[in-house]
Amino acid sequence: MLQPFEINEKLTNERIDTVGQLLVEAHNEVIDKEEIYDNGWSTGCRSYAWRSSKVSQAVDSGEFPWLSIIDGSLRFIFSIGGTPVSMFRGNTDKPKQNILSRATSYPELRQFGLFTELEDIPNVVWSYAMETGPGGEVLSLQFVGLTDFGEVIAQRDVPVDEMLTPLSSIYDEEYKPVSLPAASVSIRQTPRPKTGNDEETEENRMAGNDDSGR
Amino acid sequence: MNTPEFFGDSLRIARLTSGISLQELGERVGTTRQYLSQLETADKKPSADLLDALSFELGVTPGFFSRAIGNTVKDEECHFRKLSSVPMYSVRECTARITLVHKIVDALGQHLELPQVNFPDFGPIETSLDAAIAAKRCREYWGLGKGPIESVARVIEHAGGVITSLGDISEKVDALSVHRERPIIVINSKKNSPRLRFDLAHELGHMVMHKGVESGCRDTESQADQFASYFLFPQEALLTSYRPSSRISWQSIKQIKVKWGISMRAIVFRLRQANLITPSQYRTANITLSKKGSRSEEFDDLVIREKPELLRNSFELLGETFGSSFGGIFERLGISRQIIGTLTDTSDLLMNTQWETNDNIVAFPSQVT
Repeated sequence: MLQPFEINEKLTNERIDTVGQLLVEAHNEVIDKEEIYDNGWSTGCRSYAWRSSKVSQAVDSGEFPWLSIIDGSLRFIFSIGGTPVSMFRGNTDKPKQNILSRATSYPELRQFGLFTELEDIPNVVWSYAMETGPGGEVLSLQFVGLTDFGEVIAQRDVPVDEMLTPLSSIYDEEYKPVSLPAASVSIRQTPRPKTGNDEETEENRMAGNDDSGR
Repeated sequence: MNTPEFFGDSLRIARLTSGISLQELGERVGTTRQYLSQLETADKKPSADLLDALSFELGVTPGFFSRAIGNTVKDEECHFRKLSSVPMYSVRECTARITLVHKIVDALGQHLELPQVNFPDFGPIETSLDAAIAAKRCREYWGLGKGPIESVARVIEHAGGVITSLGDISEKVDALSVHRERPIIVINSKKNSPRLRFDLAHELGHMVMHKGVESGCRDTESQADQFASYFLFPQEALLTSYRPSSRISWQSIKQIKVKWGISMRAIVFRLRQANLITPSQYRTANITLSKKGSRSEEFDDLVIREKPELLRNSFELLGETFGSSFGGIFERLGISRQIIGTLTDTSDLLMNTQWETNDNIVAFPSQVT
């Protein structure tokens, strides 16, 4: 499987992981704030909205000059290094059809010798695919290049296991970590005499020592 | 000519520490197990040659046998975590080793100012609730506040406790503690970080709740677990760190794990206790954690690993002050530095060539461990 940067050099692993981190953070924040009346559908909608907002916020911050918004509506398409990117929840085996419809021609694919049996090189769309577990937790986040007939031609697994959003500030303020220095040890000025522990008592001598088996 | 005294108990402790059976030792020194048994238990003395052979095989000086071992540690003095499943010979090997650790610590105390022993006594404990209260009071007693404790080992060592893993024996006996004038905790350092922290807090629980109480039964172990859980993660913190919802928040559980250094399973148990998750969520959570390939060990490496320092720092100070003689502690104890290194997890330090100054080094018989 090709890496995205092999097809498009603007799609570096670092950039993909940076945006991936934003998406996972946004999703986790939604899961953390789930209310008792939420269900999978409402949480999914909020997660989509929060992820979009998180990316928009990152664009506004100016911290990532290679990140921009192409379509800020509910279709939400952003770009990494000028390349359009979408996102969907689910796994890459079943990509969302509306995502595939956004595939555009990718002449660069010719050089890889793929699709030699086809008359025309297929169109490609780039997207994040977030897979979640029964508890709503992120199981995997993949950045994939999909052809317009749903085949994955390039993939980057974003290392989600290493991502953990920080606890809320109120939590941090109230419970500062307890940090102690190592227990102090120093040389005695006058050596202490031996304790009575070195003297054997009659009781100890008489204690049963029945361990002849070992 | 007066022959030196011979103490069978000292032979027994040295043999058990080395993990050698009477039969095996007999074969090595050319005598019978019955005779060795008599040496250990009856008022008999070995010949000078046999004494040398025993000292060679057991890594102690002949003089070690002519000194009373003192107050040996008894099985019932130890709070074994899993006494019922530990073979008796491992228990004896362990208590023998702890007896020597006591002697080593006592010898260290002759040259060094060690932390003063200061453990509160919250016993007797009757219920799990008492244990949770004891955990809270323990934090208050030492002024630890309500936050995550970065190092439980340091808390214990500040209070004068000694922590070691006794070499490989701790893998057989899990964790245990002995409550003498200066308490000793034995840990299994192979465990993952959250588990190691929990074990230390569990043994601390025994120290402050079960003084003079024979532990190992379900009640005392469950009380020590309860203590550990509340000591590491106070109830107030639990209530403010988790928001109940229709689904289990694994993200919150992971955050709690990293912040407080407590396993996901322990957190899930506490969430149920506090009624923050439903019985059905508790069941689902445990199934998820038990599933093959579950992520229950996730973020273990983000939890600060507990590292006992008191014994290591003590030997380091002796090395810096006295060079490779370490103030003559090995000769005074009559135990080789290899064995002392194993018992105190300081082999690398004691055998390090950096201490090889021009002071006198008394040779020991070649090592048996």
